[in-house]
Amino acid sequence: MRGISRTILAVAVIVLVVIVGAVAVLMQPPTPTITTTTTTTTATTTTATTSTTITTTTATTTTATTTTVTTSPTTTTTTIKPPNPDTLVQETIGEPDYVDPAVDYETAGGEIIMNVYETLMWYDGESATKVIPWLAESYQMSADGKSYTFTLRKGIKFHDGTPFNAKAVNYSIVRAILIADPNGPAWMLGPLKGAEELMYSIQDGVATQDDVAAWLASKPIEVLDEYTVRMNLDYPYSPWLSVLAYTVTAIVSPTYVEAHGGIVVGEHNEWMDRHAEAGTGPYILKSWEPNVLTLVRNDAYWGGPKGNIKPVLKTVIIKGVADANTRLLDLLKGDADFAYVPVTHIDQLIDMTTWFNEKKIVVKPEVADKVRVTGPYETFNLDFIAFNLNIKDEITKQPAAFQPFRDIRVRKAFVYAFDIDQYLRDVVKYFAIQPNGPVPKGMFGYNPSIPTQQYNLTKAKELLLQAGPDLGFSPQNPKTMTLYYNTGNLAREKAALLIASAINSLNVGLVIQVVPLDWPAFLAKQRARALPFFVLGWAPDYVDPDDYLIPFGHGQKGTFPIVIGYNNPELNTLIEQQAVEADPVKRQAIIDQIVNTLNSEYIYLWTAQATARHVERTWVKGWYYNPAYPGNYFATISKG
Amino acid sequence: MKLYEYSIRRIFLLIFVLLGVTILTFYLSRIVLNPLGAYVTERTRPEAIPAIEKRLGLDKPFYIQYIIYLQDLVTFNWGWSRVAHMPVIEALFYRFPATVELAIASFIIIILVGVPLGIISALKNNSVVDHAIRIFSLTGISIPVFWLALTLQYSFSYLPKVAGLPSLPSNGRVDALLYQQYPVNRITGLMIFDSLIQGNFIIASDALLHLILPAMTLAFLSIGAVTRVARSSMLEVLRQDYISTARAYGLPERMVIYKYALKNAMIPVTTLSGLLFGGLLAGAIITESIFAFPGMGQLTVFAISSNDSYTIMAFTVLASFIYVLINLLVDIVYAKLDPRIKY
Repeated sequence: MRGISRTILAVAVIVLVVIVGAVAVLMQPPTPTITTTTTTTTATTTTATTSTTITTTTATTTTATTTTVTTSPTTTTTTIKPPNPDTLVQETIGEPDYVDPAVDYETAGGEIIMNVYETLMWYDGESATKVIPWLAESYQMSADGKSYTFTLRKGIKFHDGTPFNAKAVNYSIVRAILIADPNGPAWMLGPLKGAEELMYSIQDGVATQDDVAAWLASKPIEVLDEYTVRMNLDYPYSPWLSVLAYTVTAIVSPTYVEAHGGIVVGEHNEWMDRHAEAGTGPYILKSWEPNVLTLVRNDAYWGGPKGNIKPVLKTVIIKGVADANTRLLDLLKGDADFAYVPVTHIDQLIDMTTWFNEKKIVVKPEVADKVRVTGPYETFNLDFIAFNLNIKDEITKQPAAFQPFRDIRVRKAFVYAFDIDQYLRDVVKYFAIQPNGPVPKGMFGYNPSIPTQQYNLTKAKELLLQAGPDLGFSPQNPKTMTLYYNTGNLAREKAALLIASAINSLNVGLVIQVVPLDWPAFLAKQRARALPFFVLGWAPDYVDPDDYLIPFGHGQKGTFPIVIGYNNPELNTLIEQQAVEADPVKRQAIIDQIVNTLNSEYIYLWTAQATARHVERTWVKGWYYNPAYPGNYFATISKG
Repeated sequence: MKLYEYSIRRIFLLIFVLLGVTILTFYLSRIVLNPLGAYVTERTRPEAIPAIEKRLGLDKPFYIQYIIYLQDLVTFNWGWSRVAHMPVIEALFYRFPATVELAIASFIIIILVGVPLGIISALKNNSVVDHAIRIFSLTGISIPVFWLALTLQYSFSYLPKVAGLPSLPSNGRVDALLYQQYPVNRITGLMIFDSLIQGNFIIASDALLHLILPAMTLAFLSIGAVTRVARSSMLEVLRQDYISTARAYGLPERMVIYKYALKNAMIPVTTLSGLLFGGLLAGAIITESIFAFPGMGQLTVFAISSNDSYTIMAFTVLASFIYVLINLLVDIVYAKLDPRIKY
């Protein structure tokens, strides 16, 4: 008996100690008293009220703290000095796939590439719509729009000392085409004369050396002299200059590539996959260890087209830190200058009440002296639900008997049934806006006067009750349908569940079940046209509405119209027209017509255009947002 | 049978074990997972897929695919790791030494803390000290790893740092900026070892500091098991006749315990620690993720979540190889420890 009671006592004491200890550690607010006291000593010019209130807060821990600290951020911002003013540490998730511009097709690699390499054309500062000559000095388009002549800047050198010239331009673009990675971005170079055909035959493994030689002899790119280069296209293509701003067209040093494996048709260059040290850009990738990429400054950077870009930071360290809490702590203690903070954790930094009510980002007072959160910034990522007008059976490959989405009333009803407000509020916490069509806000071609889709459950029910008898479903004789999304995407999962529960709640005889599929399975079903409807996202390759209108609208070339059996010849013609229309006003009018047609036929339900936020230490200066950038441009950033 | 004959037979059997593992993982990776998943993305042109399948040999019959795989395995052509963005073999070369380093560090803590606690617990059987140690070890076993990792990070890294006190690094293997200034040539891949033999004490001590928190996290989870086993086996040994005999002879208690009891009590602990070490070498998934430690566990998590069958298969083969090998070593050590054991 005595033994037991002693055990219980011991257990009780230790459990109590552990709990108290844990609570004490976890509940302690992340406001260091050190920083506040520095304010009192250094901020002599600020009003006396600040210093007196601070002394009271340290003496007594009353509720007054909350009101007093709000005034401190403005005074303390200047007092905290960064420990390493020459080095920027960015903590994020994910590593690049590759750092070779010819094959990399994701943003982590794109961020490295845009700092190491440069393109003939690039975005002018914060503008995502205006590309300016970058490595090119000027360009000229031929009257038929099928050839572009570029005059290049003189005196620029690659990091390895090789001079930048027309041969390097030719070499770099030809290189991307000859590697022809089917998962890479090289397809964007398709409009170049004969390039698309050649890349397909390389990808299918049937291209011969002769084919390659014949293509090169057909002069898709002509080196006219040391600093003049001409690109010949198969057809006039107005987004071409935007393509030339994408990383795939970045110019690499030919001597460097030749010294490290050269070009092998149809194959990656494994050295270039992991090394980026022979571009013309402001930084050089010094090392790529697991989870850590280190960029060092190119001291001989030429300064950019306006001559005003002088990189300040000597070193940029990009760390992959998978855990969001770890990133947050590092940011708060000053070990990280930039940190990726997901929507799930942003409430630790910003005041969510203000955000929800006013859509304004206000940093919480207790961290405001350390952390700056800016945004929201519109990204060009678009989430949507697509309705299949020609559902097929995956095994028999025959059209299914039940084709509800051929009836516009059903499509319309589904659009009406989606509670967009609830989605934006509860799922993405307003870090997204409702799109009004395939062209995202912030891009050329976006027209704010086009109305967004509306939520109206009553109308949805009416329409489905009307359509039911014609399609063979009724409350007494319900039909089941499956909505698919790809595993792992939480926002898409929630969107799927939201619309499914809305339709199911209507009791009209349509029962929606939601099924996640891993990507290959999803893709296989999509290729078999066996997805009745699905949730998916689209991110741009180059910043031009063309990269949205074709994939969403063109019945013969578009990614989605093909898999959902939507082919509207009039729309196809309009899409082709806008691509060759050089006059922006006329082009806008055609784009409006395309968007209105797609919306009036209810082919897609536009769920969200994601918005981003940027989280940095207050001592960081010079960062700006450009939705066309794959990542941060470090050349304008400084600390201290 | 002599010990070396036994060892040779075990090594011979090891081949069959590994073959079994490869058949199983290969089957799973080709049937349950779709190996194509690592090679197609949201942007892959559907028409390009047959060519990819052909390149990967996925159009061939299953057994031929397996034979190709085996050939590649023995020639160390382990395929491309999509998550590590380099050949799998190179990724292992980068990642495995990191895990080994972490495993050794936490193993040292486990043994240095776990075994003495177990012995004390047994000697002070049913005392307050014993209860405290038992609760400590139970806490270790039952505490969620992520919570422990975050708490350690918060208390030893964040709090001291913002208070202006010396603090431990919260993540990574080495300070990237320091490493840039004092680079270390990769010889074995064991950062501390490499930097020490190159006389680079700055990096050696920095890498050691980076090891402390993850090693403590990992160790705390296993200390409990070691303590419990050490305690119970010590208790059992203390009840043996020969201990009573030794005591009856009037031998000092210290000698009875450390000379006669301890050696025998350590046999089960050896087995357990061998397996623990094997487990540690396979990488610690959550710990490595939270501390952004570039080891095997982190790589495997990424590989599993992105369906990277080549990396997953390389990992399973490596992990099973380690387990089998360590089991063998433990058995050999067993024979040395306990002369009664004959093979």
